[in-house]
Amino acid sequence: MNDAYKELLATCKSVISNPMAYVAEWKSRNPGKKAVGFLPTYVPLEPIYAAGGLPVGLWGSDIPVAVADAYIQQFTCSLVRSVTEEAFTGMYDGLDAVLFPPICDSLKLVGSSWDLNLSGKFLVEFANLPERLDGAAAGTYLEAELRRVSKRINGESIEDRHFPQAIALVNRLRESMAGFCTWRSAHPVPFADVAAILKAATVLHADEYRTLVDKVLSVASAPAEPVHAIPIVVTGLSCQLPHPEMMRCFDEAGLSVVADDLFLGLRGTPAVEENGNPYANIAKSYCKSAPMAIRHTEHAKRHEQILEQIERNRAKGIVFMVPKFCEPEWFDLRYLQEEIRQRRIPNIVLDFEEGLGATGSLQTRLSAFAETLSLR
Amino acid sequence: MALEDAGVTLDSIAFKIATGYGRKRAEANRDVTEITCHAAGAVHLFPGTRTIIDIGGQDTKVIRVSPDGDVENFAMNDKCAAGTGRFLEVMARALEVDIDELGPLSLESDNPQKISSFCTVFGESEVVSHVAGGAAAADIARGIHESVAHRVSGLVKRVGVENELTMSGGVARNPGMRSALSAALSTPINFHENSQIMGALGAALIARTTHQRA
Ligand code: SF4
Repeated sequence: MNDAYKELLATCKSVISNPMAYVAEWKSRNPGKKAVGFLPTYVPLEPIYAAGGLPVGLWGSDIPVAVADAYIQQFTCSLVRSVTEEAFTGMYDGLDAVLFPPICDSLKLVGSSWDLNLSGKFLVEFANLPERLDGAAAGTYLEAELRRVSKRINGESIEDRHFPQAIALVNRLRESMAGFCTWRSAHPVPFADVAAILKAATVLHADEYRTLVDKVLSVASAPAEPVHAIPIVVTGLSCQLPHPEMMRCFDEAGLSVVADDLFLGLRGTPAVEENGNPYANIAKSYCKSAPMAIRHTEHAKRHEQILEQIERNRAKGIVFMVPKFCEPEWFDLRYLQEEIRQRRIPNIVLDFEEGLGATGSLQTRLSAFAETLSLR
Repeated sequence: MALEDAGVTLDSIAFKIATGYGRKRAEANRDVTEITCHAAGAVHLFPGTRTIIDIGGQDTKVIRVSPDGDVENFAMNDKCAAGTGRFLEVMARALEVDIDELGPLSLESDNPQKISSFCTVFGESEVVSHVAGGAAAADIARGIHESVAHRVSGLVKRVGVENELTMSGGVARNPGMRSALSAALSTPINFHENSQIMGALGAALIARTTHQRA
C-alpha cells in the first residue's frame, strides 16, 4: 500500500483513539472558535463550518458504562450508553455545544437528559428532522428549523454570505468519503481500516481530511493483490461507526465487505447547491437522502437499494448487522429479511453491542456464515 | 492422550482441522467453526437431520441444514449462561446433586417447580428458596430443565423448527434435558450416545473431504 495511504490510516487511527485531544489541539490553533459535538446519523454540518467551527462526531468508546446507568435504561443501544458515559464523566467538557438529531426514542430521551444535567458545560440542542420527506412541507419546515438551529448554536445568525464556502467544504468532505470508498473497491483494504478512516472523517476538520484523502487518490498505484475473500453486503449500520477492531472480524472470517451503510446520514445525502438560499439548499439535499431506517416509511426503498448493491457487486450474501436495542433498525429488519429470504439470498442477522469485548462470538458467527457461503 | 487412546501418532494424521473457540490458536491445516462441524457430524449420524441443537457449556447453538446437509441458518444464544450447560451445572450445585444425576432425577418429577429462564443468578436463588420451601428435589430438577428448554426453544423458533431434530454436544446425554426439550418443541429429538463428539466427528469428516479434494 502506498505511503499516502499509510499516512491517512495512521492519522485516522490516532485521531479516533482520542478525539477530544484533537479537539483541544484544534481549538488552540483556532482561538475563539467553537467545537460542536454531534450525534449520528445526520445533523447539518454546514452552519457549524459557516461560523468557523469544528463539528465533532460522538461515537463513544469501549469504556465500561457505570455513571450513565443512573440516567438511562440498560436496554438502550450501546452507542447512546457509551456517549452518555463519556458526557457525564466530563470527557466532552472541551465542547461548546452538542447537536442531537432526535431520530429515535433513545436519542430524544438522552438528549433531554444531557440538556437538564450538562447545560452548564455546553449547549445541548436538537435538530428536529422531518420524519417524512415525500411532501413539499418537509423542505419548508426543515429550512426554518435549520435557521433556528444555526442561530442557537452560533449565538447569532450567521450571514448567508458565509455559507457557500462552508457548503463547498462539506460537499468535499462527502466527496472524499465517497472517493475513498470507490478507491478501496479497487484496493481491497481491511474493513477494519475502512471503519477507522470513515470514523475520522467525523472528527478531523474537513479540510485536513480532504488533503489526506486526496493524496491517496492522486497517487497512481497498482491495485493490490486480489484478496480471495467472499464478497458480501452489510446493512443495519446507518447510525453507527463501530470500533475498527469489531470490524476486523469480517476480515478474519474471509469476508470482503463490498457495500455497507456505515454512517449513512452524511454519506447518503447528496451534494448541496452552493449558491442561493443556503438553508433551503441544505433542506433540499436532506430531502433527497438515501433511504434509512430512521424514517419508518422507507424499508421498500432500502430493500431495492440492497438488491442493487448485491447485484452490482456480485455479492454472495448479506449480513444484517443490527445494533442491539436499536428500534428503527429492528423495525425495518423484519421486512428486509422477509424479502431477502424470498429471493433465497443467503443472509445472517448479527446483533451487536460495543464495548463488551465480545468479538469471539461475532467472529464465530461470521466465520460460520463464510463457510456456508463458500460451500455454495 | 487422545492420540494414544486411538492408537495413532501425530505424523500419521494427513490433515488436521481445529474447531471450537480456541481454533485459531491450535496448530492445524485449517480451522472450521464448530457450527459447520456439528452440522456435518449430526447429518452423518442422522441423515434426515434438518435442525441441530447444540447445548454447550458456554453457549447454545441452533443450526438449520438443507436436505443436502449444508448449513442454511443458525442462531446462537447471547452472552449469558442461561440456557447453557453452565446453567445446569450451577443449578445442580445449588441443589447439591451431582450434575450427571440431575437429568435422571428430573424424570421422577410429577409436580415441576417454576424456575426463571432469563438469568442464572436469579435462577440459582430460586432453586435455593424452593429447597428451603421443602419442594421435592425431582420437581426442582424438572423445573431447571424446563427453564433451559424454554430458553432454547426460543432460539430454535428463531431459525424455525424443521424435522428431524438432532441434539449434539455433551448436554444431549442428559435424558432430562432431551425430555424437556422434546416436550417444549412437541417433537421427538434424535440422540446418539456419542453426542459429545459430534463436532469432532464433523471436523474429521470435513478434514477427510478436504484432503481427498487436494
Ligand atoms: S443506533 Fe439506533 S437506537 Fe442507537 S442512536 Fe442510532 S437509531 Fe437510536
